[in-house]
Amino acid sequence: MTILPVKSEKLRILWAFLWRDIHNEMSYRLAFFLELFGILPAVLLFFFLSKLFGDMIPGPLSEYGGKYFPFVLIGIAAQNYLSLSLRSFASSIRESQVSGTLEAVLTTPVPLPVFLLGSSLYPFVLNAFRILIYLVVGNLFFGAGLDWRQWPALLVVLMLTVTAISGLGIFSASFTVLFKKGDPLNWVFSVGSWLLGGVYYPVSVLPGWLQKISDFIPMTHTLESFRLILLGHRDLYAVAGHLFALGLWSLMVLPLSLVCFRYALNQARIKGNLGHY
Amino acid sequence: MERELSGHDKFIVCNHLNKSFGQRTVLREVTFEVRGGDILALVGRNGAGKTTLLKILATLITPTDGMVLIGGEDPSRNQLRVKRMIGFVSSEERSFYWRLTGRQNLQFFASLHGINGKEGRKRIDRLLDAIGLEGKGDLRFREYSTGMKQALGIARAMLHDPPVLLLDEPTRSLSPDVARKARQLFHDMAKREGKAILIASHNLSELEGLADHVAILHQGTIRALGDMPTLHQQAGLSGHGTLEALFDHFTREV
Repeated sequence: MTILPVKSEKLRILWAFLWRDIHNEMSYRLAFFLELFGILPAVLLFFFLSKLFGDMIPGPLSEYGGKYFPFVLIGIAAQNYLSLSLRSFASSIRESQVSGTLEAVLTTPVPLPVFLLGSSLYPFVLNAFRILIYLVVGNLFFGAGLDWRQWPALLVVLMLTVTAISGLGIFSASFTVLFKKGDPLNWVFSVGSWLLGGVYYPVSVLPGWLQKISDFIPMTHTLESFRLILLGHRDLYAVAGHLFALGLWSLMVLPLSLVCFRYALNQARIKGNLGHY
Repeated sequence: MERELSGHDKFIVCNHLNKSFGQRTVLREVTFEVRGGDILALVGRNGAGKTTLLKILATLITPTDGMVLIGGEDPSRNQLRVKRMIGFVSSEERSFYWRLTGRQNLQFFASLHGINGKEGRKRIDRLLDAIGLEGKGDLRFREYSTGMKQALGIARAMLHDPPVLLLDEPTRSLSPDVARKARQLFHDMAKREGKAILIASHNLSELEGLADHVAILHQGTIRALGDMPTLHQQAGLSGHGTLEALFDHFTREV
């Protein structure tokens, strides 16, 4: 194994998880390829649809440059990132239950947060790489006209988004430990984000009471931040309110989700079904 | 700072241990100790509670009540310390990543124990040789035979050189020569390195030559515990009786 040149024990463990998953996933070549380019057809679909609508849509999209294609390109990329990353916690636990490796890993002295982060690191990194590809392709070949000058601000938004959805993902993984299959939280959150988070249309077209609900969804704040930075040429300060919402969400949900996951593991240890699937 | 363990410490202590799953009681008042340098054989029929007991010691199952100490540490209070002290061989062969090679699997688990770099590679090579997998480390795990998979499980349990080994039917699928190597390895680890070994097996004849003490577990209760001469005495059998005879005697329904 190529060892990461770091002294921190926890970072070495995270690297070991990432290394394991890269080797494992790359051995499924077709699946790896499909995963990387799977949403390209959706991007094409919306590119042609936006041609149908015409280049400029005034009103709700004016804040984001007025063009539908770049607006929806960011929506699809972010929605894809969030839903896949959210699922990654539960699916990695599920996979390790089915493959029988969960018990083996849990007999090693890996702290729980490191185990959870390590199990989902690969999907997070892969998905970040994917959305980068889509946005670059959209820019170069479809004239999306994204403004990359504020890329450090994008990184800050991405990091806060990751911590915000990690809490939900860990809740989701707790369901998998307890009930093995079936995860209502993931479904509710994905559908809620898709409908109310502003993926395909701006939140401003929703009725007032739905807009209020959408304020409680991390997707809304992630998308608003991405679009304002990439399309509206704004900087980090202009999206501070959205960053605050994502940060607050992380602070509230992440510690609670860790407590919940620990509870789920303890229950599984009491029932003796940690490795069952 | 980890506690140093001396050869005379009681590495594994089980005191009045009980475990129930709902209404079903699996272990009742199980009490025993294993000292450093000792091998305790745990024998019992299918469903006697052997795997549950080993999984409790390996922190994978929580007991209903009773006390467990591993190297003086209570797993319910200090799980990470206990995990550093145990090597667990599961009877489950699915516990590896099938698309990685045997060596890659061991490298991954070694990293989780904080063993990396040259030291890790050396240790993995040494263990692969010791367990009869020399030259086979770079095959994918899915290409391994059942016995090779089990041998890799033994190597994994020893990666971090733990003072306590919990072995659940470790030689079940091994070929006779590799099983012999494994037994020699267990013996050396106990006698030369002072490790405490708890081994559950159905192969009574192999345990006879290996174990210092035997615990006969029947329907969740330890029916007999001691070295072979003591058990013979308790059973009223001649001193040359086999473990099988002792097992039949102590598990006979009254």
